Amino acid sequence: MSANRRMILFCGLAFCLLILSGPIYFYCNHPLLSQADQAIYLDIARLIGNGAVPYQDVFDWNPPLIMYLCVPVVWLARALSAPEILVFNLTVMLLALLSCYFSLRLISRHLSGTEALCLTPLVLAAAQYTATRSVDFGEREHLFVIAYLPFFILRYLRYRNRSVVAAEAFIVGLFAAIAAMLKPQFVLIMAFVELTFLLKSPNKNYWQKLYTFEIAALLEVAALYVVALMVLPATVRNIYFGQVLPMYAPAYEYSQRAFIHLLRNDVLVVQPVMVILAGLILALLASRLSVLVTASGVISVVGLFNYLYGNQAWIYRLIPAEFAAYICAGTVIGALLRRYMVPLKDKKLVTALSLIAMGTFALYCGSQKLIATATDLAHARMVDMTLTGCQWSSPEGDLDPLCQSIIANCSRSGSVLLLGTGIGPGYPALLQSGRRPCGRYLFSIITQVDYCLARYGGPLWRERLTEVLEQTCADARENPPELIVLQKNPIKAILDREQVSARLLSGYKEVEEVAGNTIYVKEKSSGGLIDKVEKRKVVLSILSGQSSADKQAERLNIDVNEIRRWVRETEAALDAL
Amino acid sequence: MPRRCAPDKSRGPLKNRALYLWTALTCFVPLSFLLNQLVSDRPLNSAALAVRIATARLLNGGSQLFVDICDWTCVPLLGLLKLDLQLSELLRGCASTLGAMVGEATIAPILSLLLPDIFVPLSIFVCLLLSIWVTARLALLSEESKPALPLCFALALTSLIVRFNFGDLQHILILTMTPWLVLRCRTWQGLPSPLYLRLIVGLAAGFGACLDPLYLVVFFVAELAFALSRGSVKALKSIDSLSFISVPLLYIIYLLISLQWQFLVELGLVLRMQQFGFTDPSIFSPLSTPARFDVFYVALFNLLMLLLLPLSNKLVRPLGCLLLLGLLIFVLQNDGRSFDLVLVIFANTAMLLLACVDWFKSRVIAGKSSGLDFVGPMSLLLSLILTVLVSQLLASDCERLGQVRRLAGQAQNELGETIVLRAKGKDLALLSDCGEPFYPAVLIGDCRPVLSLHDLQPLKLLQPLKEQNALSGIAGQFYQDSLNRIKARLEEKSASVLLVSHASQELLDKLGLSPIIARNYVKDGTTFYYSSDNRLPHEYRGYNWEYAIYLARTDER
Repeated sequence: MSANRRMILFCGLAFCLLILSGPIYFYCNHPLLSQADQAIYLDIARLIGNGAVPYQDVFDWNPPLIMYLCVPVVWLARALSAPEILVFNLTVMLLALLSCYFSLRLISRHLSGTEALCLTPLVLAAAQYTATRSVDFGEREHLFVIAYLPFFILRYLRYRNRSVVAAEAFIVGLFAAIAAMLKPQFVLIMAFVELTFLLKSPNKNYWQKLYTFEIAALLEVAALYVVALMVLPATVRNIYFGQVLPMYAPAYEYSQRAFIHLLRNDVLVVQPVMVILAGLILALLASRLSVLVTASGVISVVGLFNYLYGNQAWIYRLIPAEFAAYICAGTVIGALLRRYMVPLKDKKLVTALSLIAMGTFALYCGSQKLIATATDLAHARMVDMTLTGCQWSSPEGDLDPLCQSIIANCSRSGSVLLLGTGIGPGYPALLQSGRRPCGRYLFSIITQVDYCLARYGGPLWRERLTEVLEQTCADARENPPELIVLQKNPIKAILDREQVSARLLSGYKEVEEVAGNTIYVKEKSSGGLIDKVEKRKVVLSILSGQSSADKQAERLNIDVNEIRRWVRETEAALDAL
Repeated sequence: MPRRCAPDKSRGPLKNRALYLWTALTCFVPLSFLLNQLVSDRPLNSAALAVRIATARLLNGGSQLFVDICDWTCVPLLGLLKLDLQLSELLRGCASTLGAMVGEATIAPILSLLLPDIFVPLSIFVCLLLSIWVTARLALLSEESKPALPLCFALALTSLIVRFNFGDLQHILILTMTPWLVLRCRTWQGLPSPLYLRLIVGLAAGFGACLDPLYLVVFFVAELAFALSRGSVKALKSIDSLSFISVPLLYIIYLLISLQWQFLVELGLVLRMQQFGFTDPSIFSPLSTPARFDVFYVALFNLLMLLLLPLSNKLVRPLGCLLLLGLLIFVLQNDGRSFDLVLVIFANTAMLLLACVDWFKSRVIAGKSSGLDFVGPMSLLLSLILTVLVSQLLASDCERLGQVRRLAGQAQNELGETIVLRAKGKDLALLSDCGEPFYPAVLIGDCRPVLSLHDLQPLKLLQPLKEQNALSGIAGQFYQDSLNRIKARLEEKSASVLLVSHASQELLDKLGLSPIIARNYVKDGTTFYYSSDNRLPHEYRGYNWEYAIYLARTDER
């Protein structure tokens, strides 16, 4: 690699680091800032780390890869005694930096100095995209675009007939393949990009470029994943393929809204939609400049299709399309730069000026975020989170409204039963509070199943609803939660109608209402409801020194004096013998 | 600059005449279906157009814009509508005179065509014919612009597809834009066009751009697409550009010297911003706005096609930009109804047709001298197939609506029919967030709307500002004046029949209108706006389906 290209690699990487330095500082100072999806997968990963089996012990709608990908993050957090959320956010940042490094390394090694310089804005645009993420930071779509960027550039190099070292190609392929397996629609995006290169290639034999190490890595990971799904324990397989998947599409209809809601005026939706449409106009107008512009336009179109086809106003589904608009803008800037650089004989001055311009951009973006974060922190009210077992403090605004209520009403070893319409409300509050979920359903699916029963009718959905309600009651009976968070509308009405409220809420008292949720706390009992066998176990464990009266009282949520009385009675009986 | 108009040697008169003929025949098929529908199915004609006709009628009757009636339609369009209605009056007078001589029965069919709700759509239909003719004329001026000929059929077919929105703003936009695109394509290629066509097409396009500020952007981006494909900006300085830009400039000057600019610009801007930023809880549930996935899916398919395939037609890229701008407008309007998708539908249809022609040329008739012999019959066959298909889809939409009405078992209790039966020729007051469901029944029933607003949407948009005490200036004045006028009319019992949307009850309470209604009117049943899954021809926003009928209380003295 020539000195010029090495300089581009190092400068590019430094610029990316500069851009990402703002968000890194931000997340270091917001150790508990997370969103519902990211939080629940971290919690599931924690449970898997404790021996739980997905679907069987923990219910979820989605394929299991993301749960397992979060396990190392949880382990790392334990090893560092840091909050899982903080470690997760910083891991995503690290992945973004790695992605930029791989991308810059590929372009600086396999393209000329001018070409490498002109593709650097693309990588900076990608870094800036990650830096601007807020609510959907670390979502599966975000992880995909981060991991896909080097693969995208590698495929462009193949299109340009460049040969790449096998190990490098394999690693890039592996990186992208793992992310692509997170959701099936990501594979569709990759397929259409390949189609773009195939159709635009002047080389008639472009299809031969599919026999490469990165594609091999992709196919191997896909095959391994399919095999892994097939060899799951029979019970897990039956639950996932026999219950979860058939329920997925009808149950998700519950979250469908009016068509205009998909493109609604909410700034969180309208901003990405505007960016995507502007990016597409740019792609159409400038597609002759580079095949990368066309390819990014294609990603936007397919991404938008995925969003509309999903028919859920969940904005993170717009991430691939919005990301493509960013890299399209980066590519166009680079292509225009190239247009003016190519005829020049002395390129050094333009190279230096371009690097200065990019550096200024990176410095501006990074410093803006740093200043904004520092300003916000100066005014933020920090909450001491030692009660959650975490030795950090967090800005109050980062905490879910339910979080403080859970901390106040549930002991550190206690569990919480969440009965809401989805992952939120409940998450990220539960993870932030450091409490355990109760039972198999980390989030309730009662409303979704009830919707299907109302919409489709039939004994199957009736059976499903009964099953879900019974399972929830059984979980609550076997491992009584200290706290029940019940979303008032519409869960309470369903529970009343199905005559489950009394069973579920007996022994609990209503303490407060938070953001449309009623909080029920378990009343301290005298232990009258505990059967003889359980009593015997408790006393034996205390007498044998395996446990203490305090621990058992906390576990069973009964008065500790009551347990001491049982122990005294037993000791008296033994003495009499 | 374009070259001077010189005879094109490659242009054979016979070949051109044949192409004219085939184009005319191809367009004739969808147009004949469309004409039949417009005349025979009056209640299903565009409601938005009917609202504008009602405004123009009131203005012709001596009412003043923004004093007696408020309508944000651009003034030149209202002016044309007024002229058109005056023409219809004149022709009706002539026909009546003629009827006295030859007998009423003989002249009755002609008189029915001169009714405002038919005559205006027919006038727009004539504009459509003119637009197609000018497009064809421009396309056939030289060999280089012949690939633009399918736009004629695209325009005709789109007009049929958007039959229920025929004459709406975006439909008028595409009527003015289609010949403009061909003209600009020629100018950017450096091809000469007759001066009179350049002037006429430019003026018409300028008129189209005045219909909405966002439409100016549409024209601008189309120019940008042409400029980028040519790599120069030379063609911007041309007679057509000058004639185009003169209309918006004149309009701006007119607005500045008249008092209306405050209403149109300041108030219009406030309302537009409110509309964009308004979170309407009534559109949260599924189907509370039409689900036009079909249009979006075809648009995405077209964009993919445009990005992936090597299409040679020079119009495809500008059309792609128009398509994206159409989607952008749909998002910005934040209404969700189909009349905001007409531009997208046109771009979709045109792009698909141009791609078909491209493919046909490159694969089927490439290198064959006899290829052109069967292009005409093939396009006619395609036209027939597409027209029948579209007509069937339109018919099925109508049938589905009919089915809903039959299932409801209360067809006699339908909103439109209620208006025609119970308010025919009377003064009528309408209180609803959404005015379209009342139209064109108000025109068919020859009713006179007595309130200054066709619907309460402007007041609904301004109400949150009022509640926050943030309403001031023109908007505050307008809010107060409109509300006072509505209250006064209701107190006066100016309308003998009052229709109130059930969905607007909360707003009526906030505006303090409910007690006035209760005092002066007595409820006399309910009527319904039926819709089949919120699809055309009856679309709605929110939940506008139940309406209460009120009759003015008789004087108890």
